[in-house]
Amino acid sequence: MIVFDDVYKKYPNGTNALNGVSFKIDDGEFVFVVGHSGAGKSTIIKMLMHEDKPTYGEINVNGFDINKMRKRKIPFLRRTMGVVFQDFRLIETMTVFENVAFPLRVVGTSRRVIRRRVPYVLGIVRLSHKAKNYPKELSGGEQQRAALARALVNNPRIIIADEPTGNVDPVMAKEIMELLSEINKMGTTVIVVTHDKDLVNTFNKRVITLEDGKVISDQTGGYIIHEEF
Amino acid sequence: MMTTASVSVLVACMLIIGTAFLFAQNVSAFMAKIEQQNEIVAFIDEKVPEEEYQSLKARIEALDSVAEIRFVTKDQALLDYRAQLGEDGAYLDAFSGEENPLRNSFVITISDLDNFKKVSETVSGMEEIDHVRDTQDIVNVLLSLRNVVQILGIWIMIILGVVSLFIISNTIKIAMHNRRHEISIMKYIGATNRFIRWPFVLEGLFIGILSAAVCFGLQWYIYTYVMGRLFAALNFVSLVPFSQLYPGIAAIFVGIGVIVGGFGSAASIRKYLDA
Repeated sequence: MIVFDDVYKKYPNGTNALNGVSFKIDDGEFVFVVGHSGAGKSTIIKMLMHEDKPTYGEINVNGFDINKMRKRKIPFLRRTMGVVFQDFRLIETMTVFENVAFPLRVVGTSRRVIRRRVPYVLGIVRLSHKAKNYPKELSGGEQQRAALARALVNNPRIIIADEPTGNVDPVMAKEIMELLSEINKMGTTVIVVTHDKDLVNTFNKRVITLEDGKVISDQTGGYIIHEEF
Repeated sequence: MMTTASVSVLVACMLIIGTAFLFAQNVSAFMAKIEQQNEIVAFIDEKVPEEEYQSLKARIEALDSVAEIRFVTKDQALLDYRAQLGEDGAYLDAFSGEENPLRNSFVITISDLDNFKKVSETVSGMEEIDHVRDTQDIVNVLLSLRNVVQILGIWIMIILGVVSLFIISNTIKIAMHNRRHEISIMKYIGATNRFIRWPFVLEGLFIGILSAAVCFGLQWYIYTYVMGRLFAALNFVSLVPFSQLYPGIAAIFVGIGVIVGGFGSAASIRKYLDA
């Protein structure tokens, strides 16, 4: 569960990234977070991961109080979520298999379990045939699916996808959204951060719309801002 | 590759430090050899009967820092003197036998030059000894020279040690900088600092120990085959054999390798872990 309660974030350069954001996402939900660039989407992801703390307001993520938690607890917060970054952030010196196995190694999973679990997850994202390849040898869509496999492998409570359709072609985009939808059906909370209007309109899901650091709409259905992006 | 760069820098620094160490060791050994040639000659009073020589010798031998004591009869001393004079030695023939004006003596070798003066004074103060002849002036020069070399050697090693630490920590920092991306990804995935750190520290240790091994081989080759032959050709002084010095060299190299490699990478990675 994620709770933002009247959250403000002012950066040292004077930018007001968030101006009193409040919302609540329950376990098992599928939510779009949309808005122009600069509306505060990436700041919200940073807060969720405790990359940054709010200037004011309360944030609770899977039982972790972002303001009060100790620094050394940050890794444990991050293990409760799987993040698919816009730039994928795969480790280039590791094969796809090793990249996907990494979160398991971090929590001390045995080799035996890793050898079973990684091929299973690679199968879900249909990337089994690229297990021994390095990220550089993959297409954008393949890299994204590898990143999704890594996000999934630990059975996290929340999957966060940052602009999942930003760096891939429309066919891949559709495929990745279907995968996220399936994952959500298995009970995982899915948060998709995007500015892709068509993408949001295709799915009839809850949409949190941000503008200038404020939530201007939070409802089920299509994209409510109609200006061009 | 970064590993090659780190190993090369480390090997170069170790080689310089090792050379300074070997140089200091050789100077010390050379000094020790010269020290052994420093003798006190104690002339025995003629009134002392020969029966007492044995106990007198034992008393001197019991003194601190006396390495060796040798009895020289006055006849022997005359022969030595004649030999030194060469052809002119014939003039001394008149003084042989009963006419010998020389005294029986003990030639004392000192093991520790710092005690030279003390031994000389003690022996000189003995009733049975008429007087002593020593080389206090040379000893003093040697003593100060030895101290200078030792202090200089230690300082050279300290300064080079600090310089190499600086160079190597920069090399490691560059290596870390290249991997900062990898480190930040690991942090995003929820790896603890400890989990991220240990492979880097292990790698650092490996690089350190590998460098120590490479440098040991190089140092051995240069010392034995290059310097050894050079000195043999010069026919001046012989080098202390490497077989006597290698435990010290190995300890220095492994020590530097472990400290710089292990602690160096642990310290360098902190910056990227805190970020």
